[in-house]
Amino acid sequence: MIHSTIDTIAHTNRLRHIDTRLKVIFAITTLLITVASTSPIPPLLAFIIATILILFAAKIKLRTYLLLLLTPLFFGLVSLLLMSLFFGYADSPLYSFEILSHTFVVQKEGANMGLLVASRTLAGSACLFFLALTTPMTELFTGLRWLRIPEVVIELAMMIYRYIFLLLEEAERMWLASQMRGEGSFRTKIEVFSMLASTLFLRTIYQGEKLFVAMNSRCYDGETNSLAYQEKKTKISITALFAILLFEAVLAFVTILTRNMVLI
Amino acid sequence: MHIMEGYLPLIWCIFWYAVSAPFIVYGVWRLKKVVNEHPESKPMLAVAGAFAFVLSSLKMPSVTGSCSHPTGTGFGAIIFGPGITSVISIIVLLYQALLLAHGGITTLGANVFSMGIAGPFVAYLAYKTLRGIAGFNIAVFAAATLGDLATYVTTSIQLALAFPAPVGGIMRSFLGFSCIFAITQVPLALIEGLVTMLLLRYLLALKPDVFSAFHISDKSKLAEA
Repeated sequence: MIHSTIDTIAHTNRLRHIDTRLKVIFAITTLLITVASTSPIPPLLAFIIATILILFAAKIKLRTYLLLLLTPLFFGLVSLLLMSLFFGYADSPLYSFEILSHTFVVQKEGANMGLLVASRTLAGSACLFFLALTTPMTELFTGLRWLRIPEVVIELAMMIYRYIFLLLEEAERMWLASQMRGEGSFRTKIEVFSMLASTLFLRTIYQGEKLFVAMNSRCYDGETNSLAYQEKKTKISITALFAILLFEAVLAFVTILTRNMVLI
Repeated sequence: MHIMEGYLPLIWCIFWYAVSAPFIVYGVWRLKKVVNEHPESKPMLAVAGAFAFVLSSLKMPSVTGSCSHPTGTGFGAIIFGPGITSVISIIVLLYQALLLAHGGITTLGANVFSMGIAGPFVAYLAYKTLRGIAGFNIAVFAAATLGDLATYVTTSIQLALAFPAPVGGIMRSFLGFSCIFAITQVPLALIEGLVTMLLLRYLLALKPDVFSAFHISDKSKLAEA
């Protein structure tokens, strides 16, 4: 299953020990510049850089990365197709073809818009994958604290994260068990799914009860008080920070430069 | 109905974050209140959030053969109320973006608004209105179905606002987007309604006192169903 793969990779990749702040700054800034751009050039640039970092710096397997990229690629291509057919003025056809005596016209504005959206989706996903594949979720919680997210939400988020993997295993087992009994009619499928979900929910509740007992026996009073997590005092590498800022500046500059540019 | 990372232009990313913010603040306020009154409900809410994540990663049987997941928003809204459901769904959506590559960080605001706010609030209203008139089963079915439909209409509006058609404007692209989604989303909403109804019925049959663990829902009404 793909989620456990991402989580495992996040703990074992080559960029694991790079300061989390650097990775977050890189991913978020690139994302923001990408969505702000109005031509496909900056997103493509961002996509190439993020891909190089993922494949060569973090040493993620090409197969895994391509598998992840399939979804944004599919969405990008579908929106490119739809937008080029349905967006635009009737007087700027690029290409027209006929299917079943209905004429489809590929329009200029639509094609440009579609290219922009497809490239942004691809670049955005690459940035997201970079963050997801190189940084374990537990380290991102620290980031949430800096953002002054209320403690109760962070605590909830951490507990949810803990239980996701336990429940996934349970769900997978139950789902397999139901599959072993063979395919039924649509009606049975719906019933089986509902039963599976309700049983899973009940097991979840028992887990929650057990968790509360366990926490209670350690004097839980609605707060998890612990000594502040002593992070190893790491210095942000100045060279890396400088390189990232330089890249973002170039990307922003390219964005401004290509502001009114259209490809087609 | 996740909007992919990078799909929305910057201005709309910011806009939807801003629109969602007051609802999330309200949700956090509700959450704090519930957790202060009943500390034991916090682990319960956590496992329920994990349940929502797992539920959404399971494939539901679907007629069209397309990949379809239950959103669980109707279920959450009925049991926890819409405010807390919003907070849980923003956490779950963040995990979906990072662990499953569904949705994204820049589009998180928009996705939270459609799936964590519009869906649950509509579902909750539908449930409250129909509960007394039409009975428990129909109310749950309608709530989950309408919640799903509200999510899908909201997503279409979000996409139409960001990508208005050069000819015909926002209205035209709204019709375009919603027609494309209708093919998969309307059957999906009906199935989710059915599944949610059966799910709650099985739950109440297996363990009628299960909802007393949450201290949030109007359990007396659920118990008599």
